[in-house]
Amino acid sequence: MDMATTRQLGSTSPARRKPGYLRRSDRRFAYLILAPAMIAFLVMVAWPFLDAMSMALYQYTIYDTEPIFIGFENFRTILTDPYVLGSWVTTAIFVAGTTLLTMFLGLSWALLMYQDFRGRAVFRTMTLLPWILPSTVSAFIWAWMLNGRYGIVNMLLMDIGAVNAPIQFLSNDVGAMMAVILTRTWISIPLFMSFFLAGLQSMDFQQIEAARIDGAGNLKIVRRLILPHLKPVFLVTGALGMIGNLQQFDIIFALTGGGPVRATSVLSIEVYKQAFQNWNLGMASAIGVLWVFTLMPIVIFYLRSLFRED
Amino acid sequence: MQKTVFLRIRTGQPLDVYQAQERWLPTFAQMPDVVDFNELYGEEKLAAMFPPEVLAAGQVKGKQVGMPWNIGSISLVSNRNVLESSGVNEPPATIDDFVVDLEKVKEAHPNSTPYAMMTKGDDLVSSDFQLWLWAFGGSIFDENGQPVVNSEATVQTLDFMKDLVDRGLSALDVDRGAARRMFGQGESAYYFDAPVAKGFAEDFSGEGEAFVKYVYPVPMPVAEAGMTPHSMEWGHLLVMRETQEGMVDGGLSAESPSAKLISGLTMNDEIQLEYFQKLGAIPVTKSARASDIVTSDQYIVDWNVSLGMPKLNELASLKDSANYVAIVSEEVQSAVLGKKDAATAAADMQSRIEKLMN
Repeated sequence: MDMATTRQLGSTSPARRKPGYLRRSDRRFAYLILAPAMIAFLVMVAWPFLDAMSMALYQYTIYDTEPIFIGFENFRTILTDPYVLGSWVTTAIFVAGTTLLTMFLGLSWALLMYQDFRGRAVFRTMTLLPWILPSTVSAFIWAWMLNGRYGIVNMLLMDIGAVNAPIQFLSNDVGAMMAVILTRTWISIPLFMSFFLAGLQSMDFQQIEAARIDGAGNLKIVRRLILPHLKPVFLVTGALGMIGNLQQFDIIFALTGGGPVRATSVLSIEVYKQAFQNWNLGMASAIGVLWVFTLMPIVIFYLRSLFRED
Repeated sequence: MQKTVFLRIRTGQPLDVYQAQERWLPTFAQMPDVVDFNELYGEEKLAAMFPPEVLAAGQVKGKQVGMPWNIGSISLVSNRNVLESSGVNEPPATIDDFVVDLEKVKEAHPNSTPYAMMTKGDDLVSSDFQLWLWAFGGSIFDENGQPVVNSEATVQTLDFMKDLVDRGLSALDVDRGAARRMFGQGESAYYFDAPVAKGFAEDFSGEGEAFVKYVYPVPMPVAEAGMTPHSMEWGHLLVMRETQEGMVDGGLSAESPSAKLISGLTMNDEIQLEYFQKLGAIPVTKSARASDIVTSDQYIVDWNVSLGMPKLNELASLKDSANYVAIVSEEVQSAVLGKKDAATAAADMQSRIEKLMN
């Protein structure tokens, strides 16, 4: 059988093949090159995830040599425990506060960095610094800055006469939540700024010039031209920001450990406490499963927006 | 420390000997393959080498599952330098006396935190709370193990702790590490610690051994004169698992590498006295405790006088101890931060403990 015949037998007429479908040989090759990634996904993601899902149906504490099947008992405990349920509210406050603040400051900073001024490249590079630093290092920097006895923030506030005594930022509910939101925002601004800056650079500058000639001021240009243009960026950064903040653990753990009195105990902290302080792996898995379901709508929304764009 | 042990055992990594704080011993004792040292070294030999109260710290349900390595008590430590410069020359007998001392220190040193109370970290908060609860005549459980923490003594304790913070006599965000620094650097006059307080004070003061004369353990002040002061028993133990490293000719043996490591650390007076001299950790063997190095040490003499009647941490021996510790700590912090009044926090502590027990 010569090459021409082989090609003829192996091929399907484009008219008869469904659009978007590959030839059998191409499909085999596609599966072959996908295989390593699929195997890695199954071993590293799918199997641990399914294992954790099943673990949620078991009682498995430090005292149990083997997991004991208890059905949905862990979920019942969670849904009737106001202290654990409170973690969802705490998580919602943290995610909403951090995402909105980061989007606002990220956009503001991107608008500034979009302007043409001397040293812009240096400023843009310096802006990336919080993103480059390990997050726990950033958390400890902020912990020292906000420290009630030695912190520079208190020193400045006292120097300008704003307060008479140091504020124990990390030891009260509002202060601790503000601290974790602020720290996470500080770290996330560079990433968000990069997204917005990329969006701004894709704008037709002549539109802005034309609007200026027509008498539009800065605010009007932002409201009528820039914000509508950046709408897809807002959707992507919003979804990514919410997903990232829902998964946040290290900064909160390093700054407050979830305290004081659960004031910053988001879902990730709750899972950690159940798994590594109370040694209740079944309960930790159950919270983890509910946590995944909390994340799911945002992830689906994000993926749908991505595929729609494609 | 316990996280590493737990994870290594659960994931099947090699582990033959590990260190455990006394409050974790009941938990670890329930894990498989834990060696009973009475069988390994012989009950009579252990009784001859260690005082009974020291051995008791490593016993769970009649088995010697922990070998005492560093046993002491959590007691109130004072900084004489700070106190004398504030006009305080006598240890406080009652809680009222104690508060007066703190007020004097605050007056003499306005930027100080006279008592470095533990206000951060569940274990530490619950430990300090219990010491003050006992001083007010209360307890978390009665002799039958039933919770009795919703009491007048608890309300008094929580009000007392909140009052100290509100008046700047104690501070928020303080854990043992911070307290040791504050004490060594003359920012605090009192805090609770084990005998190793001396070693930390030497380091943090920057004065080394010259600072030891200022570190003075005092008996726990009590609500009313005549009440018994209590300290809290504390210690670190060594636990051994049944592994190949613990066996000779297929059986557990005192001559195995694991057993020799433990006996070398706990039964060797030279090592025990070295810990004592470097850290202030009281030796565990009878012979080391009787040595001149220990008996002639004024700090240890004072420490032993300060102990009153040591009690076990009430939450340490409970199954799910971490859950109880978290409940007590959260309710104490709620009261100290003013999120709940003392009576509500005491009632909530009781109801949450009851729910967990059932």
